[in-house]
Formats: sequence, C-alpha cells, structure tokens
Amino acid sequence: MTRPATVRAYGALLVLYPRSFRREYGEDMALLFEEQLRDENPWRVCTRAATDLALTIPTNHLEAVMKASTSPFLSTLFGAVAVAGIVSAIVSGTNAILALSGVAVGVAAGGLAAASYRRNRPLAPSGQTGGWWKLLAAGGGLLTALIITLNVTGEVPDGFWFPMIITGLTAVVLMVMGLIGGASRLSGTARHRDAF
Amino acid sequence: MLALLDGESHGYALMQRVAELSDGSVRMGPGTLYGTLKRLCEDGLIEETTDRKEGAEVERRRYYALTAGGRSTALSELARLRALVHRVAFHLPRAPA
Repeated sequence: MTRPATVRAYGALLVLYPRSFRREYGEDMALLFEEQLRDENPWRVCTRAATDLALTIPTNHLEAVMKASTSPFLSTLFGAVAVAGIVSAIVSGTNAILALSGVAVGVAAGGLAAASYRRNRPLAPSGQTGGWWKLLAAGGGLLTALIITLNVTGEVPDGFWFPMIITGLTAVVLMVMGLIGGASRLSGTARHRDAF
Repeated sequence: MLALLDGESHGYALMQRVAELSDGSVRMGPGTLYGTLKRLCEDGLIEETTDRKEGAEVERRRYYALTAGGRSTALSELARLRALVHRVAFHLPRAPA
C-alpha cells in the first residue's frame, strides 16, 4: 500500500536528522506520523509535527556532536588541568592572586571534567549524590584554611611539609568528588525532568 | 516512564498514554518521543522487548518496557512528586469558605 503524500513528505524531512538516529527510528517515526494522521485532525498533526521537527532536529544534531566530542581523553585532560590548578594554588605560597587563580582554574576545569565524565555514565539514581555540596564545602574549607595558614606563616616550618601536602591532597580529592557528585546531580535532575 | 508503569507499550500507544495522563496538555511529536526513548534506552531505564503480539500490523512495531532500574527510578520519582505536591499544598494559604 502506498503512503499518503503527507507521510512521504514527512519521511523525506526525516533525512535532516543525524544518520544514526534516522536509521534507528526513522521508520517508526513515519509509521507513528501516519497513525496520528489517521486518528486526529490532519492540520493539527502537521502543525505539531512541524514544530517537533524544528525543535528536535537541532537538538539531535547537538547531542550527536557532543557525544562525538566527549571521550575519556577530554575528561582526563580537564581533570589534569584541575589538579594542576589546585596544586599551583597550594604551592603559590604567599601570593594570594596566584592562589585564587589556581583555585578558580581548578574548580572550573574540575567542573568541566565532571560534566564530561558524567555524559558517559548511566543515570545516577536520585538521592545517591545528595551530599555533593558537603564534600565540596569540606574540600574548599580545608584548602582555604591551608592557603590562609601558608599566607600567615610565610614559610612552612620543618616537619610540617608532609602534613600540609596530605591536607592539600585530601582537600583536592574532596573537591573533585564533590564536583563529580554535583555535576551528576545536576545532569541527573535535568535528564529525570526530560524522562518524566 | 510513568506511561510505561502499566507494562510494555509501542510508540503510538505511549504517545496516547502521555496525552491521557496529562489530560491532553502534553502531546508529543514523533521526534520528541523517539528522542526520549533513545535517551532512556541509553541510560538503561527502558529496553526494547522482543515479545510481539499476533497480527501483521503489530509486527511492524517496536515495544518498550521499563527495566528493573527504570521501574525503581519511576516509582521513586512518583513518590518525590507526590511528596512535593503534598508539601506545597500544605503550605498554601487556604481559600476562604
């Protein structure tokens, strides 16, 4: 049985979707559109389909591009920049501007690393990442205390280097865990909203 | 996902179920529906089922069902939404009699 011209026109427009999406769902979408036309007001169905195409074609292309550009390499790179930023903040000594810049770079790159990493993971069950801000606050507080201590004392007394390094590393780990949890939570919430 | 709590369903039935659950205020287009199904499949919340009913028409369709994790997520989201509505209703000023 040949399909009506409207369905054939809709089928032709499906070529605008990314190839992988079109191959997977194109036939189902055309069938669904045909069923809608059969059961509802054709004018309303066509208007809705036009809006749907206008909104979902760019979204699908954007998703395809973001998925292609997201790789373990990218999250590792951002993670390395984050660690470098935090480490430079720790070793910046009495220079407050350097310390703050290091923290800013570390937090920004850490956020990007977490977001990049999160895209490749399945949806986190709600509630599992609820304490992310506590980790972030604890790490941030610890790091701030360390930087203030370094600024006040001027130089680290003998025998205090090891505890300071351990404290700094603990602060970095806490902040990275908090950032990953926060990004997971944020991303999970947005995806939950879409899903429901 | 809430539309799949009743059991497996195909695209068109899902779209009708969503319209029914929202009293007609949400009517999804094919792109929105299949985009959402794709993401849910990738997240492991739903899966394509292999069960097919008899008949030529249904053979062409693909059916989707919640996974165990998807069902658990849907139910916990339902509970969260119920609690949210309850809390908001509790704090709203009462209408004068």
